[in-house]
Amino acid sequence: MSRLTALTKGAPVDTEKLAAFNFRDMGGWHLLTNDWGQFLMLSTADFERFMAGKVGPEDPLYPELESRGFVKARLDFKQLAANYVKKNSFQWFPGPSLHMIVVTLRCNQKCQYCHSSVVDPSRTDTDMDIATAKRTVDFIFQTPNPTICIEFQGGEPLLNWPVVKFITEYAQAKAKAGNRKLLMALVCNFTLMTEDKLDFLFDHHVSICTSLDGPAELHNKNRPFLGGGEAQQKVVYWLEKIQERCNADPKKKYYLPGALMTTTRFSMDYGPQIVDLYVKLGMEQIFLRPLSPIGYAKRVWKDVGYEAEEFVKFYEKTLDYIIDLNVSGKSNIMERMALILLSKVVKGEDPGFMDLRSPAGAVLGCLAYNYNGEIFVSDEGRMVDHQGDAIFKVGDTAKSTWTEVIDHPTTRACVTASTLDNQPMCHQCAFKPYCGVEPVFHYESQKSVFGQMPTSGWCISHMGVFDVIFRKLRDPRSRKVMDKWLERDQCRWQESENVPAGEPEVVR
Amino acid sequence: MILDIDVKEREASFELPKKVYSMDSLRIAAQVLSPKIDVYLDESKTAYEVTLKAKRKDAGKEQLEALAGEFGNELLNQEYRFLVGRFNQKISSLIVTQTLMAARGGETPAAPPAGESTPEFKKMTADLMRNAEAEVARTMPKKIPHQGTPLPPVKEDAGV
Repeated sequence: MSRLTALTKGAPVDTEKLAAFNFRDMGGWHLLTNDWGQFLMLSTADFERFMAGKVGPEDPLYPELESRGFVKARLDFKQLAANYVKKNSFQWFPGPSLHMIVVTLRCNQKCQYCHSSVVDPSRTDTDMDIATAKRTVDFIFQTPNPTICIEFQGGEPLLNWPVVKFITEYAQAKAKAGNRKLLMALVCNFTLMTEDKLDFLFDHHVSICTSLDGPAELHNKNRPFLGGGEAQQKVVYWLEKIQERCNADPKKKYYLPGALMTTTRFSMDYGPQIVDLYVKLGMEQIFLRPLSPIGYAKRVWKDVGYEAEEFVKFYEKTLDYIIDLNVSGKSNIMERMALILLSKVVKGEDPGFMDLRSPAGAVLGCLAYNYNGEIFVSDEGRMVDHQGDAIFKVGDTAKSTWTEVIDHPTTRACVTASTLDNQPMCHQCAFKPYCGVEPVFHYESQKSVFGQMPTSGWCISHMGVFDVIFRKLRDPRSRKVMDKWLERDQCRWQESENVPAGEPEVVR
Repeated sequence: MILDIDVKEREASFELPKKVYSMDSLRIAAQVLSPKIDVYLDESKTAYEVTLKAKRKDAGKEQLEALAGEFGNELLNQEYRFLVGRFNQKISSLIVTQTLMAARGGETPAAPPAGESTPEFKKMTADLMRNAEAEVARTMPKKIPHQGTPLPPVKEDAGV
């Protein structure tokens, strides 16, 4: 069943006066949005007057409707087109900037939901070798984007440390020779971190991110060590240690570690405790991320998964808690998903989040490289291959050129399928200017890269989160907090622009 | 949609008017649901005669009705997708072409920078590789022969 709202039957509509827009009944008020990325929140009475063509130039509502591109006869195309380009800047990007390299599939943890579909530490056949690592970096530098971000993933990348080191040094040499801007990031579970490795990462300006699902009992249930044991304490230890070193050296403050949490069924009752831990650890942000039924998670969905509606409830409850902390002055922690959506909605900017773009970031914004040099549209696409289905493979660093990858039929299929103007329901949705669909998610959950939006868990959870954010935007108390977040985020990026030449800024 | 259920054969049959549904939509819906059903088609002048055969051996009346409903939903989804695609063809083609062309970075990819052709760069690369290979040999466990695809395909009743 469609979750879109329709006009009341027989309601008067004066189409001659209305520019193209989508709308949504938010319960007592209506949200209006257009492809220029502009939005308005009108009381239902004002919405009905506007639809009936009864809001004229003398009406106090008119200037706002006019300036935001909702009045057909008064469209300022120059300004609106500039808004569109700012909001959709990624449509003009010269190729992907994010390159995820899986240096090994081996891992020393057995996470309940593992997206990456890892293997046992004995499976050294899934380690990337030096020749493949070189070819992978060479391929990455064929792509035309002047900014390259290489992200090490796994498995647990620290299990193949010599290759992490080689790629870092070789990529930095190539960036210097070609005058390219290079950012490096490591996503690891911290359990194998040592002082020596940390020194290398700091010396080579590699930013670090880890997974932290919450308090020990939750984290260790979600992310146990292979063969038993507790992992959370090590994560907390290294987070504190790295923060200490970053805070002690002004040059390193740009490399403060990030942490990501994944929401499983077990997380549902832990919202405030998870936030409290992030606050205690001095984290600037928390990212309340839903679980995707991809890879290993799909196999154990009955045990760790949940309905999309359950996630939305969890998200709203936890966001309320975060806002309360901000209002009371106990913490100024920000929620990352809210920040991403607010950047799009309020600032009209693209925050660089691959999943919520039209078309999606697959190939256009990111590529994933498997340990054996195979190239995939995204890391999720690589995981599908892990189960014996190579549908999202678009090349191989041993033989493919960038041109072959961008011209690959799978690339075109993913771009077409994730263009919202092609999608039933999406093209009429009020959240369309800020949303996106993910072909791999829908292939995995609905057997089609296009998916079926009325029954899609992706759509249900994203529409739910958008509903939450727009309701908060209409609430003055929450709006004040969110405006402060946007201001701080802006400062963070401005600051990172001032990183000394040759030193990449923080990616996350 | 009038359903004819044959539990013994695990089949659900129904007719679809050709005025509403296209063969393309039928084929795609059959492909999307291929892990769960086989689809058999016949046709008269005005209608497609569709028979769905459940792959699960224990499919009863309720499951067959649910599968027919699922097939009907997917069919509508595809038919509507064609409509939307036609309606928005100009703008969606423009966006797809624009993004692909921009990402391509021009007709001919740029040649490697001159800095990479120097003897110094080549020597530095060779040194880096040699050192890395030595570190792998010194610190890493011995590589075992390739063991094949790590995970078998997921079963249909995974609960997603």
